[in-house]
This record gives sequence, structure tokens and C-alpha cells, in this order.
Amino acid sequence: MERDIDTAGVELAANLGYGNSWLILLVTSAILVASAFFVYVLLSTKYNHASLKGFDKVKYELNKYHVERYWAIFVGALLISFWILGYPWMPPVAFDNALRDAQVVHTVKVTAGQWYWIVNDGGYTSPDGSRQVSSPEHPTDQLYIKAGELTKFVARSEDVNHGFGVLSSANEMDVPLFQMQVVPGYDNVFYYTFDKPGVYTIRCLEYCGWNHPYMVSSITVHVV
Amino acid sequence: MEDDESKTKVLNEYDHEHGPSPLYKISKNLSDLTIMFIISSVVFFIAAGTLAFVMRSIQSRIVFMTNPELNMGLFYAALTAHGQLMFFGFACMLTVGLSYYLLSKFAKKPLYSMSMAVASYALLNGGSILLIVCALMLFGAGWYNLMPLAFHPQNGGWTMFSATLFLVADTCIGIGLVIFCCNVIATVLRGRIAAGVQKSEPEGGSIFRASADYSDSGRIDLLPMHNLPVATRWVSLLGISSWFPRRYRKLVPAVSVVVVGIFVNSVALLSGTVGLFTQLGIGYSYLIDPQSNPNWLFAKDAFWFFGHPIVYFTLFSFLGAAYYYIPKFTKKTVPYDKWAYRSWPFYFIFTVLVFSHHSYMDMPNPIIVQMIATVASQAIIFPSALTVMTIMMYILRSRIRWNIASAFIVTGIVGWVYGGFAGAETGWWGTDVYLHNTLNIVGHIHLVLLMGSVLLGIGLVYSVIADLTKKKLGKTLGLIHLVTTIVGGFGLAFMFMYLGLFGVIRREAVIPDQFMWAMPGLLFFALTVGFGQIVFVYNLFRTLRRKQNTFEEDKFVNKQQKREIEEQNIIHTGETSS
Repeated sequence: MERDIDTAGVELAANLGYGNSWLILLVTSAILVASAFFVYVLLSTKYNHASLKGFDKVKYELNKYHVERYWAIFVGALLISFWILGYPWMPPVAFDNALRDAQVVHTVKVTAGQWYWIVNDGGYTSPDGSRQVSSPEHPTDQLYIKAGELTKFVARSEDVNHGFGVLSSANEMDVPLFQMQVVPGYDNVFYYTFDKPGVYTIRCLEYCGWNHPYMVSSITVHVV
Repeated sequence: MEDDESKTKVLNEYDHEHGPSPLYKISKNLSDLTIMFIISSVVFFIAAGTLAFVMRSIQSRIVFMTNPELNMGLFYAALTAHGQLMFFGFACMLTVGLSYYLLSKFAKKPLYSMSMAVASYALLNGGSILLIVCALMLFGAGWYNLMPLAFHPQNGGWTMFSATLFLVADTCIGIGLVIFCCNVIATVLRGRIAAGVQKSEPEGGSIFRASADYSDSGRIDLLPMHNLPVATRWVSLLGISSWFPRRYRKLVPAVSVVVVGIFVNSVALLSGTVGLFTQLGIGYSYLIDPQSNPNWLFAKDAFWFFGHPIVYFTLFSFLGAAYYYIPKFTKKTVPYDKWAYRSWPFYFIFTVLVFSHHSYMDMPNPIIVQMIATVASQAIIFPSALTVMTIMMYILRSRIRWNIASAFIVTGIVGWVYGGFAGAETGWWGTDVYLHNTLNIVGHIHLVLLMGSVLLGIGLVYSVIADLTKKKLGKTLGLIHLVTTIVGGFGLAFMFMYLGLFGVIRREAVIPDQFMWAMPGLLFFALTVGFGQIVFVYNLFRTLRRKQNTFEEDKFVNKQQKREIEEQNIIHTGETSS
């Protein structure tokens, strides 16, 4: 029994993150700062300070200055700022943002199975579904998509869970531009706007059986 | 003057190489069972590590089977069994065994039921052995048993019998974990329990007054037994009372933070096992009626409802113990520090909710699940940050006694923090879209599990074995174990993490040429970690087989303390401690 996309689906939009290089910089910085803190703490144990007569004098000195209290407040504030920073990534917000200004939505239908991809160009529809511009409905690896045009990928699985991942290059393996799980029994929907034409690798990103590494395809996006 | 002498005595006791062990003596049966848990866990650790070596070798294009498809099948069977054995056979086994020991020690009472403890041991072992049998049958649906893949192997893959056997294995393990949780909860909630008023807080304007009180100098053994009312007991056990205003907080006797960690762990996991049994139930129903068309998305969500708490399960008991052991190594007071308790209510709530970030890329999930995922995944950072800072404050400017146990425990905290950073990346939907199912996640898991909870657990083993057997593990071998684990473990985990950031996909038996340069490095670090663990196992078994030497037991426990222990044991267990 297939479940209806409109009742079951949550549709999300990509093009929202700051990119992978930003992420590498962020996590590396965090690790370096934390490492510096750990080194500082561990080196401090070498001090033969005279103040440590009782069990916990240093501990209470720290409590006196409310280190843990201020730390808790700092972390709480940091998390709240992260929530604000990540607000555009909240799924419902992302969905709204993607569709708000779109005049037309280019629909691409994807079928996944062990171990193949079939991509059908489903044509164009207006956001309310009232206008059908074209419907080639044939398997293709050539997609004619306008740069900056919102593309709606609707993926179905014929058998098991797959991961529809579009990589950022034509390489066999690379950083994903975007991805979604293809769960059997559902239409799985993802919106994406390609910024530039080129060849993009489609790769299964969810383990789906012994030949999973060979479930690779590609699409060519042309500027129309 | 007398107080100073008493203090000096206590300090000297803490200086013993084998680590700070509470004086309450657990029963012989529990002592033996704890050792059995440790032995089983390290055996499965080696088995799971061997499977990791098989995976790294296949990715490095070392051929085990001439049939390429079978070679890939071997990779995925190893991947599946490696994950489950590491989680259940090793980490959970070690967690359950040490938790029983720590619970009895720190609650100062026997377990609710030794039979239940033995049953949990038998079921965890039985399930883990079945997992190995499934691996030999080349069952490879992933450690998370992703349905319906388990029932759709295709192209001559594994059999339905092996898929069924895998369900049975997980059922045994699930029941074993439930029995453990119930045993812990019953032990803690029934009868009296050791607890103390939070005396260590500064009073009357003097910040040092509390430290002058010898009876509050971190000796959990000296805590009196309380018959706490139900409501008081719950707010104490979940650490909620630590957030009360001071005058109310002092009215609630604080149970040892080690007991709090184990209790929170058990309640959270008990909730999580609902997810495991739901997934297994869906699997069984499909086996009975393949036309039933189950909701596989629900099965997947249900598994992760269990799959994330089980990660924390391997951590929380050890984290609670770290709150006690690290200050003991640094000679600072622990059990009544309110900041040691303040993380636990948050851990309890967010551990249960945080699962949902596993479903970020499952678009058909209800919006509410995605929203909870976003909030909970970031909110879990809050208690974690509190824990790290409190423990670092214990170490800061202390005279920490470095030995193998303390080094492993401190390194475990550091590894957990690094793993947390990697986890925080995937806690945002907007960044998870780049990282989901890349090796970055594998790096996160290896930092949190291998370099986090496992190191904490191993550190405790070094301390606990000495307490249980009065025999110390070899120091030189321990040092080799420590160095190789740190070099290999961090090398492996960071390589995974950064390879993921550069786009290497996880669960790939075949690595494209562009990333083959990394495979020798991964294989080297995996072998380094493996070598360290073999040294550890040799050290452990050599120590256990060695005849008991003249350990300084008499120096460690003076006569008066011995009498206290015996009196406590007679009161609480009805047994003498001889």
C-alpha cells in the first residue's frame, strides 16, 4: 500500500547550510580550543601550590568564583544562539522558504531498487499543482534544469531502504550536495536548487545489500 | 589534631596504586559475577575487533574470498556483527557487569536479585554468541538491522534462517538488558539506601567550613543508610534535588552520584527497549506474514528510539563513576557536590528524545519528530558541558595521582568531548545533510564509544579488578595498552571524522581510487588499537591466573574500618564479610 505524499510527506529544502568547508573549520576550531583547555588543566596539576592542604580547597575556591555557574549560563546562551542560527534549517521553516518565491517547480521522479536508479523527468508544475507544462515521463540521465530553478525530487523504493544522495561533483565519491532516505512505502520528497550546470553523481548513501557500493548513477544538469 | 590524623590516613589510602575503592564489601557471588562479565566482555571485544580488521583489510583490497560478491558479503557480515558485538557483547556486557558491582558498592546494599543478574549475564552471552553464528552465515543487514533489508538479501545473499536467528539474538539481548534495568531499579527503590545530607556546601560565610568536616570528606562508605520516602527518593535519584534552592536541597539526602548515574541509565534504557521490541515485533510479524506490508519507517524510528539510548547506556554508568573516581585520584571531595548531580535530570530527559536526529533524512516523518530532533540533539550538549567542566575542575590544580586507571578515565573524558563535537555537527539538519551516512558519523561513534565510554570502562576495570581479586594488573603492559589505544584509537577516529568531512561514504566495501590513499592509514591505526587490546587481554588473564600475592589489604583497610564493613554487611546482607 503506497502512502499518499501529501498526507504523509514532510517536504524539506536544501541550499540552507553554510557548506562543508565552514563545517570543517568549525569542528577543527572547536577541537583545538578544547584541546588547549585540556592541556591547560592537565599542566596545572604539576603546580605544587601550597594552598592545597585539605581535600577540596581549590575546588571551593573555584566554587567561590562560580566557575560552573557561569559556564552553565554560557553554554545555555550558546545553545540558544545556535537555535537562532539554525532556525532557517528547522524543517518546516526550510520547507516554507523553499516554496515561498518559487514560480514553478520542476519535478523529478526517482525510483530506487537493488541496485539501480531510474530517474524520470516529471516536468513542471506550479506550486499548487494546477499547471502541467510538460511530462516526458521517460528514464533519463539528462535533466534540463534552469540554474536557480527549484527542483522537486520525489523518490520511491521498489524494495528496501536506500539513500538518494546527489554528490557535489562527477566524482564517484564526494561531499553530498544533498541527500534523503528513500523509505519503502512512501514518496520521499526533497527540494533542491542547482546553482550551476554540470554532471552530478547519484550515489546510494544507505546500505542496501551486498552490491550497495555499485549503486551509482549520474545526472547531467543543463542550463536551459 | 585527631581529625588531621584521620585525614592523613584517608589520604594515604587513596594513594594506593590500584585506585580508590569504597570499603563496603560486596558478596562473593557478585564479585565472581563481575569478573565473569569482564571476562566475557573482553572476549567479545577481541572478536569484534577482529571483524574490524577484516573490514579494513577488505577496504584495502586484501582479498579473503576469491568470489568478489562473497568477499563483499564477508565485509557486510563483519560490519553487522562488529557493530552489534561491540555494543552488546562488549560495551553493554562491561557496563552491566560494572554497574552491578558499582551499584552494590555505592548503594551499600546487595542487589535485589542475584538470579536476575545471572540471567542477564546468560542472555547477553547467549545473544552475542548467536550474533557470531549469524556472521558466520554471512548475515549482513547492518548492525541496526535495517528492515526490510534483513528479509531482502538478493543475489544469493544470506538466508531467511540467519535473519530469523539475528532477531532471536537481539531478543535475547533485549530481554537481558530489561532484566538488568529492572534489577537496578528494584535494588535502588526497595529498602534502605546509603545517602547523605549535602554538607559540603559553604555555610555561614565560610567557604572552607565544610572541608573541615571529616565525615564529609568523600567517603561514600561512611554514608548512613536512609529509608527515603518515594518522592524524596526519586528527586534524589534523578538528581533533581540538586537544582532546589539551598535550604530545600539540604532536606533531601543525596544518594551517591555513582548510583544516580546507574539509575538514570537504567530508567532511560528501559524506555528505549520499547523501541527495540517494537522493531523486533515488526520483524517477527513480517516473518509470519510477508503480505502484512509493515510500516518500515516506523520500524526504523522504533529502532533508533532504542539505538541512541544504548550508546548513552555504555557511557552513563561510567560517567557517574568518573564523578567519584577522578576526584578520588585528585584527592578532592565528591559525593555531595551539587554540580556533580545537576547534569542528570537533563541526561534523563534528552537521552530518550535525542534519537530522532537519526531520522533527519527520513522526509516522510512527522514534523514534530524532526522538531524534537533539532531541540534534543542540541540540548544534550548542556548536561554534557556541565559534566566536563565539573570533572575538569576536579583535576585543575590538583595533585592527581597518575596511574593506568586514572589515565584511561581522563582520556575517556577527552575522547567523549571530541566525539561530542562531531555529534553536534550532525545535530543540525542543515549540516547533517552533508554528513549523514558519511565516515564522519563513524568517527563520531568511535570517539564517543571507543575513545569515550570504552576507555572509561577499561579504566574502571583496572581499578575494579584490583579491588575484587587483590591482584594488580601489570603496570608495564598497562602502559603499552594505554599508549597503543590512545595512538591507534584517536588516529582511527580522527581519520574517519575528517574523511567523512571530505565526502567518504560509510558502509562501503569498495573504496574508490581517489580515497585509497587513506586505507593503509586506517589499517595501521586499527592494528595499533587491536595490538593494545591483545596486550590488555593477556595482562588481564595473566593477572587472574596468577596466585594471589600479599597485597596490601591490611594497610588499605585498618582494623576499625574492617569492623565497620562487617557490621554493615551483617546489617544489610545478613552475611559476614569473611
